[in-house]
Amino acid sequence: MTRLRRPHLDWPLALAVAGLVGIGLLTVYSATSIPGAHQGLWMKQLAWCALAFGAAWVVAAIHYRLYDSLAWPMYAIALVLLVAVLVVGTSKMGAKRWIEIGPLQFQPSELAKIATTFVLARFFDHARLDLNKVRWWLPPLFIALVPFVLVAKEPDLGTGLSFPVMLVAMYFWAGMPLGRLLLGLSPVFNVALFFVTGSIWWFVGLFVGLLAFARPKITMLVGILAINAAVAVALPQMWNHLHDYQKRRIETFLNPDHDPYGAGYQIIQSKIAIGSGGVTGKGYLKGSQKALSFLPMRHTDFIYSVVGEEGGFLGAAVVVLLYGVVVLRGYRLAAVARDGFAGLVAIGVVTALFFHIMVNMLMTVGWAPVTGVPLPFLSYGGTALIVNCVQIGLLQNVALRRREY
Amino acid sequence: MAHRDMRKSRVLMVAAGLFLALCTIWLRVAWLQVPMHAHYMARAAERQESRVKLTPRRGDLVDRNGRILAHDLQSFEVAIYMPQVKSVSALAAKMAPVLGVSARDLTKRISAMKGFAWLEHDLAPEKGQELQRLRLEGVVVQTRATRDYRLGESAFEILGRTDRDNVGVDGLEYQYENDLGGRSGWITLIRAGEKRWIKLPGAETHPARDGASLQLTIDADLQSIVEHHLARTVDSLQALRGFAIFLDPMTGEILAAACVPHLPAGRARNWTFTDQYEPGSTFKVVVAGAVLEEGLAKPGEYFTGSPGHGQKAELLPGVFIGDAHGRPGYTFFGAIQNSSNIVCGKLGIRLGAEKLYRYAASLGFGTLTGIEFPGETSGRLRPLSRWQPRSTPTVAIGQEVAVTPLQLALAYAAIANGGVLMEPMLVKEVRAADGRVLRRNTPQPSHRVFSESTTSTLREMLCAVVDSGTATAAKLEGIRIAGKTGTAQKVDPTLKAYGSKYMASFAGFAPAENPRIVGVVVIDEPPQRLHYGGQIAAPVFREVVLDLMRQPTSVLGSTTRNIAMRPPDVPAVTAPDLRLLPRREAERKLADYGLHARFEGDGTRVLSQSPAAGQPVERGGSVVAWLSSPQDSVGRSMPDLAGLPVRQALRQLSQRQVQPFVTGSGFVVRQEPAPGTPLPFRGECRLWCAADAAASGRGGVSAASATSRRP
Repeated sequence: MTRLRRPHLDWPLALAVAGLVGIGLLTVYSATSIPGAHQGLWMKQLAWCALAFGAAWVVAAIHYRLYDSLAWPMYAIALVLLVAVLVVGTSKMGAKRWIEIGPLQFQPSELAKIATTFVLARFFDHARLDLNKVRWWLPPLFIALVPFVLVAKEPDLGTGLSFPVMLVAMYFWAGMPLGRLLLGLSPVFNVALFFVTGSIWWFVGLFVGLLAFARPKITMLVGILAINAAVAVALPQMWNHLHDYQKRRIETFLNPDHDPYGAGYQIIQSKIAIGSGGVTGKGYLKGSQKALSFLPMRHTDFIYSVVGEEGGFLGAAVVVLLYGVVVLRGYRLAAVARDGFAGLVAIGVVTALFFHIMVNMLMTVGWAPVTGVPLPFLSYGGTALIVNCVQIGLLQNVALRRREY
Repeated sequence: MAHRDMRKSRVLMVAAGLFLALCTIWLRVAWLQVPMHAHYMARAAERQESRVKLTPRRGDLVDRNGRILAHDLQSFEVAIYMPQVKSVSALAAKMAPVLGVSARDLTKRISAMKGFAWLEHDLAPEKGQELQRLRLEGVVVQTRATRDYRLGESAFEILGRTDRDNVGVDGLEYQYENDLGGRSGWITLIRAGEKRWIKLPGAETHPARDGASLQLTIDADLQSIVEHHLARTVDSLQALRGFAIFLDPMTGEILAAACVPHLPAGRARNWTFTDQYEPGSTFKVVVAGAVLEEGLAKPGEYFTGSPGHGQKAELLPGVFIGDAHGRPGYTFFGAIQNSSNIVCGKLGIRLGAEKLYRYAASLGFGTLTGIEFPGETSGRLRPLSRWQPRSTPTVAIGQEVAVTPLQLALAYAAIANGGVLMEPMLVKEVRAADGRVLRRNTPQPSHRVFSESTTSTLREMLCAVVDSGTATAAKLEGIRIAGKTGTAQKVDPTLKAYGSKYMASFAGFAPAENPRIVGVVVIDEPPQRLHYGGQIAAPVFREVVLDLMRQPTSVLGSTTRNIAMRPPDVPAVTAPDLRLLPRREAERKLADYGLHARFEGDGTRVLSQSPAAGQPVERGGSVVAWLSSPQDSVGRSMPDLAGLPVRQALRQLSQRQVQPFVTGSGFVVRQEPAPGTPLPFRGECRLWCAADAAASGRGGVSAASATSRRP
């Protein structure tokens, strides 16, 4: 332990994150530079940056074994807070996502994300893990679904969905056969295909192909079929239970020009901002869509549109490239991690990050419904920035200790 | 370690998947920014630029002497944009003193608002400018033009009105919209922020062109004089309505065209152009003129009249015509003087259908005069082919034909001016905002109808009508008036026969020797007891001429100076203009001049005065001011009908074009809507009546209905 004290910081990862945070600061400055309610927010964001780097540093410095051993208590605290936020949380735009402690606001769902990563990693790292047995594959499902349900109830579907997505990635990483995993996910495909195509037959075709590939046991086949049938029946009821704004967002996503001044407005404005940027962009601080306040939430959820408008394709591509570096370096760290727990944590963290990046970017280019998911490292917002940096700190933690014996 | 290998293959697989996912975003962004760039640039520009309309100033309407009748006033509109309001009470406290309302009421009003809401639509300029100076956050102050009519309701039926957007909806405002309205311009503005627009240097602009002004042939003084006397007559008689037109016989210029009562804006019509009626005896000048022109009878020729006292004469087989005062016979001259139907019918037969038709058509009856006014009607003169044998005597006495007051006035103008039919004129000049004259109308003679000698004989006859015939009520000292009365029975539309309703009219000119004005006065549905044109229409004409004579200068010119004579040694002051002033103000104004006020009539404002404004009055003397309440002669609100006999109530309502539903009979005990409700209102008007007004009172009807429900 003492022989190799030399810090093996993952420099590409660190530099890519630094680059993204820098671009984020510049863009927040640009997006809030025009006179209006949000003017001067970049100063606050700068303060958050300092705090976030500090947090990342602390998280990276503490050995991840501590996280391993504290996983369950952290998870328990996170769940308590998730329940608490439903009771005493602060409402913003119809959702209770925040707990206020004095002047600070804090999203318990972010803590839950990290705690759940630890618990799942700890569980899958078990020596006797055998994912063919129910007693081994069923508990992680519950570990992920409980926070998912609580977060989705806030409601914050965008953040909530990162729990099941993380779970799938970790199942895969822990060695679940691919065919079985896809079969298990079939109800999700069922729902998605139904919404996109409006017909059940696309899914039936896919499902038959999946069966031929996975060749499940007869008990499992019956179970999966039952679940899919239940989903097909329950789907209309589920639709009715969605909040109005959620329904509207999904409908608008499927057909944004249907309601150009209502819910589709944001998507159309975002596309206009990006599209009018062209190859080289309108120049820093010169974005007119941004400046003229057409672009809603330009410094938070739609910050990538400002990047696209002012930086053009060059700016937008650089950002995608930096995200590529972050995500691929993260996966590489998962692969070279010293032990199972570290690798699984890395996988969980990278998956959550990647999910958020994709959901936000697809939204700004008009390919995903509008969900209140900020873009990691770029969007204005203290909690998100700190949590994202803490996630990078965890990755660096894995990197620092990958040669430890 | 096998575990490691499996992991490695999975890392590659996932890495490839991640790479593909990021590439997808990359390609999508590239698609939006490179091939679709032009499309989105256009869409961005379309949302950031805006053409803002520049509203032109509407042109003025001025009378023949340059007096402003209608012009644009700048006023302000105030709106509140609630999302920008931080504290409603603080805002209200700042605004209340400017608006002149209590802060508490204002707070209440603003608190009830949501989003963007109007607070005030017609704010005085000085208040609006003060609000603008305050620069309150969330308060939008913008200018707006409101049309101001200097004479109030006077000349309403000529001028018309504009709607909320200052676009003409009736009258001349409508007819000359293209001239008055001007052309709106636009300017390209760039959007800067959510509520701000800025003009870039060199931005495309297209200035607005202000509207042209119209100078009318109307004489504002004469117009208000005519309206006043007409309204007094209609109100006192409780007639359905009245209308009168006055014009200059030499030029065809319309000096006044009045209608009583006033109709609501947007539904107003000038009946002197738009309504036709059966002229009756006033039409007899046609046959008289034609017979003289053709030399078919001398004024002294004697015609037998009624065969017995009050009996009808059989002019043609089966065609009987009677006189009001059946005398055995008249000379041609006496027949016109006393308005004998029998003799005029005989003259018509002597003239023949063909010539009668030709002269009537030549005087302009049955065809549009072409006056530039919305909704003119042509009257009715059937084509000769559709005349029956009885038509010739009937048309000769003014039945079977329908005329507009304008047509009749022009025909009398031809008699007054020596035989030439003039084209009517309502607009003298159209002048652009920069002062250029765009169009100038000059008097247009149409053609000669009668010779000079014919018209001088006709004028003599018409003078005799006033001097000692049917229209002695029009006689005045110091001026000779010529004219002819008419009393036509109205055709009951349900019975298709003459009923018991009348149209009383008078057509004439003055002074007879050198005519300066021609007028036609029509009173529709006067009461049975007083329904002759000579009794009610002729006095209106007389009063108008008298008022004109009292003025030092008027359309009558200086011919009447002698009337306003006074002993030269009595110190005199000039009478102030009291018109449209409230009673108390008029009194005060007179006191300032050392004069006393004598008010006549009921009402709130002075409608006319005597002596007229500008005329000398003996110091310490008095000025008579006729008051009129807007409710009565203006007809803009529900009258109080309680206690009136149902017939009288219905008449009052029909004056105001309200169709009521009547329950019961006798006297009105309850009305809906309440008195004073502005007209026109939405919904229906209901009247509840009971046999005995005094006994039933207000509860009468409900009590009756309660008893009827009892088993």
